Amino acid sequence: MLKATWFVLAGMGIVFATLSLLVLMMSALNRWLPPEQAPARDEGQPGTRGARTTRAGHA
Amino acid sequence: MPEGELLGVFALTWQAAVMLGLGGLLIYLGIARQVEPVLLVPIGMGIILANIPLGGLTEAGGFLAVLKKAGIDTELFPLLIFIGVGAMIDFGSLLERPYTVFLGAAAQFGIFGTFFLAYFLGDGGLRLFDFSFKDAVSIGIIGSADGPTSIYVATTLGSKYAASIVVAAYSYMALVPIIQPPIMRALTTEAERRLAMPARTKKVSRRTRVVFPIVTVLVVGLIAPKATPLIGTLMFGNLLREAGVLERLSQAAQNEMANIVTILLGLTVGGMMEARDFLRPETIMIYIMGVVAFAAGTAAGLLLGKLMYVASGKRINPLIGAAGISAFPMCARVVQKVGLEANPHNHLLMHAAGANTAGQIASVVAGGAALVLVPFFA
Repeated sequence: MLKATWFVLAGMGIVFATLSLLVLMMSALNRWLPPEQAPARDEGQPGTRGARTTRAGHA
Repeated sequence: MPEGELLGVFALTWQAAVMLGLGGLLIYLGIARQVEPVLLVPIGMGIILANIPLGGLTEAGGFLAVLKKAGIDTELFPLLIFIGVGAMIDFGSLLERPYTVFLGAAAQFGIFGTFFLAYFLGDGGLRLFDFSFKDAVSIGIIGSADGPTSIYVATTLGSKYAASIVVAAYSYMALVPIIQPPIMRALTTEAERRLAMPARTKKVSRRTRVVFPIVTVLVVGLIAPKATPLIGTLMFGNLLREAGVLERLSQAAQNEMANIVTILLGLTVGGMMEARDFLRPETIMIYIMGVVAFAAGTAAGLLLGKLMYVASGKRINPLIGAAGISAFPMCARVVQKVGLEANPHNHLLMHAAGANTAGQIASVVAGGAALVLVPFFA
């Protein structure tokens, strides 16, 4: 049963390690690829274009 | 033609009669009680077809034998099903709440805990049942609450109980609303269940949704390569859904393909339940183990949920941990129902859906991990 115990520990270890990496990837995706801004109503107002360009640069 | 082959009724054994009754019961549950009819009706019909004496459907060249050879032995059917499942799943709830991944991971203890018990009852300890190491792993995989993964792992490992394992996995998925609530109530307090979680307004971008399936395939495939066929097909289906330019293919995967393969898979699984293989003490024990697997997975998810409840300063309702087992979307609905019982204003569905979709990925990873590890331990 010792090898069964190691199997359980190794199996759960792989599951948690893989999914931890996935959490990191998801967090990174959410950070690097934020939701697109809805079409700005104040397209012509000063300042808004600069902000949009900055966000696009992150992508 | 030999005289005895003219009338099947002369060749009918009591075992075959029991199986015919079981097939009829599944069809009754599916149609009259509407318990997972999409699965139980084809499975029930498959059982009847396979156990009609002298019908020949399961003999070499027979209809069900051909289906089994083409779709189960090659692992084709579960993988095709996974494309459809991937196209149906919205991972948005998970992407909005990445921490719920850990609830899905914890719930996979159902797989490994049940493996341990099965191996102890079999070759690894008491030897009460003919369960080898690979059989025990295959039995444990019932705890993934994921039919395609169960089929894939049990057939890849060549378990002699593959048919029983698959049927148990699908049967218990239908019974999630009965199995889970008592465990949820036993392991959580009234105050915990009443905790309302706010509806998050944070959204994920379309680009994230498109990139997510590709990244997941890379992460899972590079760590647990044996899981690549499962995670690859699941995420391919999801990419069809999220791409935004493949609506026709996404709909085909969700509907036409998934429906056709479900019919073929159901008939084939039912056809694998022949009396001579099915009516054995080991099969009955596998069914008992199936309940243990679902219960252990649910309990492990709940316990991690309770840990998160404390660690988050009572902001996470531990009930959502129960959705970590993969039966999608039933577990999430059960969590919502139990949460509403405790607090009529408590809507946990989206939070539970995050854990539930995490469970879908985690079960595939666990299946892949088991396949990777078996050669080192068996």
